[in-house]
Amino acid sequence: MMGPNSLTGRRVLLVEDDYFIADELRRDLAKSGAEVLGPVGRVDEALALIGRTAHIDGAVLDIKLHDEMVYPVADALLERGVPFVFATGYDKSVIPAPYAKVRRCEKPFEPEIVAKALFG
Amino acid sequence: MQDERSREGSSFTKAVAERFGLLPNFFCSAPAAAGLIDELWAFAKSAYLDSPLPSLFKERLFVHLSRFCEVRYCIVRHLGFLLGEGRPSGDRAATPHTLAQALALLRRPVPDTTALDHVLGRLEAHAQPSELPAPETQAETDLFDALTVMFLVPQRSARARSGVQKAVGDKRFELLVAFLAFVRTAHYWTEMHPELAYEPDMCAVMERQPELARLLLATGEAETARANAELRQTIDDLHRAKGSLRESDARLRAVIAGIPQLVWQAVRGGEWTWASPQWTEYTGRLEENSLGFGWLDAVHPDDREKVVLHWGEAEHLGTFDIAYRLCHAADQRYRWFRTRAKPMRDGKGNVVEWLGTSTDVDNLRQMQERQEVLVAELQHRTRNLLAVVRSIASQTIRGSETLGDFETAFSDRLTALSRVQGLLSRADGEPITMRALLGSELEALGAEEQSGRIVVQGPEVRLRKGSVQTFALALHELATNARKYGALATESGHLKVTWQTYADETGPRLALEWQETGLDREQEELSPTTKPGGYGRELIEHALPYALKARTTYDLGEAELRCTIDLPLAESTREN
Repeated sequence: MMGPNSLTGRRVLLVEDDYFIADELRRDLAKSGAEVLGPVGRVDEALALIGRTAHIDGAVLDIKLHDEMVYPVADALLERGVPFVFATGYDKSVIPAPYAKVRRCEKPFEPEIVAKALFG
Repeated sequence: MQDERSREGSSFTKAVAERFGLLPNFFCSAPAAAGLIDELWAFAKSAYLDSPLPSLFKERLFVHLSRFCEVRYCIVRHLGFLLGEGRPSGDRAATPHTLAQALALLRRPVPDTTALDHVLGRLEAHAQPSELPAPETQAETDLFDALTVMFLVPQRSARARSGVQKAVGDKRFELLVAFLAFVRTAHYWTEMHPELAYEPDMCAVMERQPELARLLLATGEAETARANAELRQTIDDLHRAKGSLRESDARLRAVIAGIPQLVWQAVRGGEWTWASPQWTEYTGRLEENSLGFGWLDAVHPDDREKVVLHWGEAEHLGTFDIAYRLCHAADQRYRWFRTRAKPMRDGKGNVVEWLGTSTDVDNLRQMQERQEVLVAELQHRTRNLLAVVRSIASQTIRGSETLGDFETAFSDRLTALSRVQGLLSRADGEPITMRALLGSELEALGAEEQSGRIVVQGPEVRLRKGSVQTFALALHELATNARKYGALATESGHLKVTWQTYADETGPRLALEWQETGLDREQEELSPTTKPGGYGRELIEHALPYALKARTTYDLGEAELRCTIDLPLAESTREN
């Protein structure tokens, strides 16, 4: 069953540096029927995972991963045409211009909102 | 003698009449002092009739200056010349004026202080001396007004003289001075000879033209006296105003030199006319190199266009207010300045000049930027913290059998979280050490009462901020467990926490060992921390490796618990 706003059967990459938040999101996404890729908490790990995964439907990205920013991961996804959202506590004004149009979901978020933002 | 005089007089009057086209009574006056008349004639020829100045200019000036003479003979006669009754300046080739032109000349207003100041300003602005202006031009008006000042109040005419000299050049200036001297002599002569009558031609003209007659005669005398007094007043005012302006300028500039702003004066469109010493000191540019538009060189190249455009609108807006960067000579870097200027206006509302200040707002801007970053960071931290609280709640729910269990464990974990937040916010300037973090957790347990059973040992190690929160929560789980179920919950248990630093291929690392001995295995197994899948072990065995790239172990023996946490000390960006 794969409705337009549904996560069922979608392969969703999760990039989040906090273990418990990542774990929470993973559970929530899985509960909604998504197949979670990751979670991973670092830029290099995320890039490696993207590199070795042929099929990705969408991604949820935390903006700040420890001391680095997630933008290289965003660029890699943009290049592959994979839709993604930022799950972040950061205000819109802090996000650099090239990513200004990317949807933001404030943490903590509901999986339905992510689903709508990604596939709605 | 009489005959000779009369014969000579006859050829003299012929010559005069020949020149003017008629015989003015002026040259028939004082028959008893024929020598004086001869001298007057010679003077008239050299300074007036033969002077190489344009004929109409001379005649119009004669008429204009005669407005200020109480005896009306000169103004009537010379207006006659101008109208073609006789010849303008004795010049056959000169085109006489129409009545309207003559009236306009007589009606010209006497300038007030401000207008005269502008007149002199315009004359002084001449870069090159030029020919005498054509009749009825602004340039002629300016010159007439300045010459009037020289004519009426020579003792205060220094500025007017230099203005005229600048405008017309030395040679023409000398001719003008000679001309003025002759007009003055003529006026004096007429005042000494009140018997001088208007010639019949002018009587007829005035009869035909009552308006002209009124201007020349009736109210003319009173007007003249008043105009004369007014002009003197004007010149006096101007003189005083200039003096007090110079004085107040000097006072103002002394005050200005003491304030921290860069101060300057400018005229229309931002042409600087003065810059304060602070400007020179800050920009390293001499005042003379900053005048005009020289000051623009100190403005950041990216800001120049904006500044010039802004000046274009300043007069219309009535203010100049803009922020731009100026180069600091000593540091060789640009700093932000807020520049404001207000126009000074004359009595008629015209902008005379701008007085402006430039205030260094660089530190202020930097602080504002820092504040914006801090606010963004605070937002991020707060929202992140809420997400952490939410995940702790759901983890705790999963590990709790009753609501009472949940309440105790949850509030305990929130307290630990709040403690580490406190530590983090205090540490905005200073680093958090291993000992401080551990101390804060043990102290919260009241562990110092059992200090004989606790050993804490290790070198001074600074923790990176990004690792503190998760690390602190893990230590909290260990400490709580020790207190409730482990070594500190028994009579004879001991707790030993030691750490050391070392380096491997991943960089500098911290190796911490948490060792509890003399514990009761049965009791320990009740602990939610120790239970596989419980929050504490999840934190240690999964969260630390995930978030901090830590290597961890957690082993429970018969009477011993041993946990090791080994994590990188360097920032992750440096590892990459």
